[in-house]
Amino acid sequence: MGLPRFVVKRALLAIPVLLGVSFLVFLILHLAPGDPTVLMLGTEWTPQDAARLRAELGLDKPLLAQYVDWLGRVLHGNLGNQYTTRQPVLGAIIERLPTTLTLALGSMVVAIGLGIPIGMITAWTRRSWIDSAMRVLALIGISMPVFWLGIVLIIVFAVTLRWLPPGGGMGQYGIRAMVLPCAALGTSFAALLMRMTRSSVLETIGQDYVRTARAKGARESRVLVRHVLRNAAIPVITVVGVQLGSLLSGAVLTETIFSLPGVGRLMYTSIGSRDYPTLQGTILFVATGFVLANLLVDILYAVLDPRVAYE
Amino acid sequence: MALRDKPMVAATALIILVILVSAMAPWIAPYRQDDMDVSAMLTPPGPRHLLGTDNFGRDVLSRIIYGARISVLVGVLSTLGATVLGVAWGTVAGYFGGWIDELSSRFLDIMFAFPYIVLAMALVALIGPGTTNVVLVIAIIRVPMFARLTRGSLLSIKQNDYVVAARALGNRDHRIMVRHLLPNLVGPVLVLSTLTMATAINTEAALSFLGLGVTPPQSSWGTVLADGRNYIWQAPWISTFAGVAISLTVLGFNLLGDGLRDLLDPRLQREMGKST
Repeated sequence: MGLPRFVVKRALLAIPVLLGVSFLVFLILHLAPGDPTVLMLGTEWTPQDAARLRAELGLDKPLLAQYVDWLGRVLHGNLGNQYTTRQPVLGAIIERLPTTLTLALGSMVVAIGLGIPIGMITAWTRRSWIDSAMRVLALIGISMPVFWLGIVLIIVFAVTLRWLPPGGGMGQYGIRAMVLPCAALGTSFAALLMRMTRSSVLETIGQDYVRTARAKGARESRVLVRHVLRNAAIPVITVVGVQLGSLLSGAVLTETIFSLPGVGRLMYTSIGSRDYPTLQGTILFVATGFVLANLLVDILYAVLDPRVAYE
Repeated sequence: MALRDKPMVAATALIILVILVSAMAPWIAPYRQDDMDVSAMLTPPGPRHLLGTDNFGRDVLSRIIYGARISVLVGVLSTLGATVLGVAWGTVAGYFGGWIDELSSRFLDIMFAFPYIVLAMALVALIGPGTTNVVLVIAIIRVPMFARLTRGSLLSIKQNDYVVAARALGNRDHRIMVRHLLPNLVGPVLVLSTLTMATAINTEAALSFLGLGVTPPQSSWGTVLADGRNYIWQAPWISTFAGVAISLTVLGFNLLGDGLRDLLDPRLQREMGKST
């Protein structure tokens, strides 16, 4: 099986997952405590109003029929209206997307910028004190809850040193508002990437083709870049992909601590205000994004390691 | 052999310490967790209150000592729940294979499509906060990892000659499972359980921090951290020390899990590194 076929097959496999995800998300409105029509009608309404609204919303149809209707609307970009503001859910998500994307990309830059170089250094200096110190640091980085690291960063850099704003978002402070959030969220990923890079480089260094490259007289820098790094990159990319879910989880927490107007915070506030259409919409959005990102990572994986597509 | 592994010894000591502290909280805490000292509100750490006090004049050290009980309890119960359910699920799927396995795998794929905090928050939104619900939610979101690990391990163990021989001898399904398959799973499952303790304590803290977890009058490290968040300008010590408690405990379980993995089966390293 060649690469194009692999891509098509992998993309097709994502469809049942997305359908399953959408069905579970669809169920949220039905499992949610309270009658949605009552929540929508507000304080003054008659049973007739409720019945009319139920029929209007299609809530009197069988569950599966309701799901098909709902999915049809979702595919046309209609995620319903928020209970709180009566505005379309999709609009609210799109409005907050730049903040979440900046946070995700920024923390990825922090993670890759720190994690991969440090991982390579620890692999090359293995069993030295640098290696031990960095490995302990990495484990501490993984163990610190992101919401606590966020608070500590606020205490140090916003409260004590007053170098950076404690939160608020880009509308208020521009890109400076994103420095602490990206540092907080990026740190644990840097630690994960460091560990993975270290073990991956160590494994690659021991391979026959690296010995061959050295034996034929290639310069050490060339061996490292051409033979070690290229092959060591593959498992590291898988980790980046698998950890995207934690990144999104962390983003929800990070946006909350730093009061960033992102999609995660929208989801969080929708729980407090029992705004189930918003909760449904944000979860569907995040889960779909996650599935598609994983699809991209898998394809990238196959591009880097052609054997994957042929298995 | 294991005693020479210093990080693992340190981790084990740390975990035992945390468990002892939570078990003996009433005897070792200098104050009761809800004792209010109105003359000493938001006092910085000092001789009377080693880790300072909060906005109600409650002793932060005592709150952290008592908080350990809920944090550890939630961690242990949810990990146990996830382990039992996940291993049972994975065993059924991996042993019987066929359409059962196919269906289970597709369902697991769907569960894995949700970032874990998002899934946890959605479940809490449906069933409400509270300590029992948090245990339930964390157990549910961690079941897929155990199911997938168990299924994967079983599929490889099943190929072994002794399993084939046991079947050829006419042993019943449940006997083969209990006598020949499950003992081989103990290692990998133990490693995943240890690492899951770390994530469970972390997730509880996250949910409680968001106000979606443990609710008053109970308090955990997450709630102490959340309470302190409103006072980081005047009393940064509240959140700081609660976070140190969480981080150290999580670090202990992560170290122990890593150590156990290296000890029990180095081949697992890659397999499980992918799914933490």
